[in-house]
Amino acid sequence: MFSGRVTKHGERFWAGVCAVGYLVGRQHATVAVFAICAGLATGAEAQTAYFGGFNGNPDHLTVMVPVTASVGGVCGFAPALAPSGTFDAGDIRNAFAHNFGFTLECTVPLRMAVTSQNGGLHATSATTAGYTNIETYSVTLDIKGANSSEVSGTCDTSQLLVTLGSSTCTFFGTASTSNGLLLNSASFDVGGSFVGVANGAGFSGSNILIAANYSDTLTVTLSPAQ
Amino acid sequence: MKKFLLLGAALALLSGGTAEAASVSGTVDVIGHVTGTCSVQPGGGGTFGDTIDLGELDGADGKISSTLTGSTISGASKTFSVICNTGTPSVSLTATAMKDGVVSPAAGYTNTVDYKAQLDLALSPSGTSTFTFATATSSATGTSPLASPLAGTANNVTVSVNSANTDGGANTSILTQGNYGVANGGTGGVISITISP
Repeated sequence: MFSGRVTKHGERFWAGVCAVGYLVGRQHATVAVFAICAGLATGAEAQTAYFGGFNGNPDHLTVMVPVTASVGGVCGFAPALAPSGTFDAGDIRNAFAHNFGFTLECTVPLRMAVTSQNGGLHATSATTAGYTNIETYSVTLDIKGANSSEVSGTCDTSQLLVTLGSSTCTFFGTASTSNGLLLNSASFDVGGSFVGVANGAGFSGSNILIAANYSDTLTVTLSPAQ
Repeated sequence: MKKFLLLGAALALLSGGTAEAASVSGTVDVIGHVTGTCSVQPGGGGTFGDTIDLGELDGADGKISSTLTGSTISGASKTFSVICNTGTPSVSLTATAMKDGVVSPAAGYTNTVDYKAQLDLALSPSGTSTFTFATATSSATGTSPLASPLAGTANNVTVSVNSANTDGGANTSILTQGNYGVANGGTGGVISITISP
């Protein structure tokens, strides 16, 4: 803070003090010091103070900030269009076939995989020699993508049993970047993909299917492939 | 007044390159049933049948032949293949005496031959369940339903005839001449078997 009498000579004194104060304040970006000094320059002998920079440098700075970004993509089932629902095959000794449709919203290559809870249609009733309580069936995974791309595979449910340690089926298990049936393109709102179930011409096992109710659950998973 | 500008913007950098949603899943259920049924193999039909020919019924004395009165008669059986997919099928057995169609034979003669029909069912995993029906007394033995499933093998059902007799087992009358049993031009001589799921 500055104080003292203002005389003809004092005004010059104040101008000199203000210049010193401004230089000190400028190093610390203290704009308020300059404002105070400007308020004291009044009357006929008022001095015009110029901000002429520091050591002749220009009165502005330019900072270059590089900006970079990338887009990761998305991969999931379209809303309400994931594989779902229940199919009643009726008397499973007879032939049956059904497709569960689904739609993807993947902007990147993807993989899909399937597991079966029971390894086939299964009844909880006990069995004895010559009888069976399980009927295996085939599962087809068909994926359609952009530019008419398509990939399909079919496996028996005996190779999709969720508790298997290993399987001969290429789409057994849980989908990941390295596991599952690969569609090497995007698939975004492309129709026609499905999970199909069928038992050919009907039950053909050597044992007798016991009279009972049967069921199975397939879990279908999806993952980006990269 | 010259202004002093500073650029102090902090820009967020978006980095990565991996897709969102690493894994998404859906589930579908498949259900069905197997209706309880019994069927004859091959073919899956619902009936089976054959004829057991006992041949000459009388012996040298004109009475029921001793070769037919024992508990086993050679050649007097037939086998069938039946599949039932339930755990405890139900079984019934009845039979009718053989007659030659003569309405009233003379005293000391008879036109009726009784016998015992026997049904043997092979079971799973092992064992046999046996039913019998004596035409003279209309008495049946055996249990129904079965205690376990029918064996899922061929020829799991055997029907046989034994213990042929007349006069309530006394075998004192002379058999009248003729063809006995409906399949032979006479009457009776029918063994009926029902196997249900």
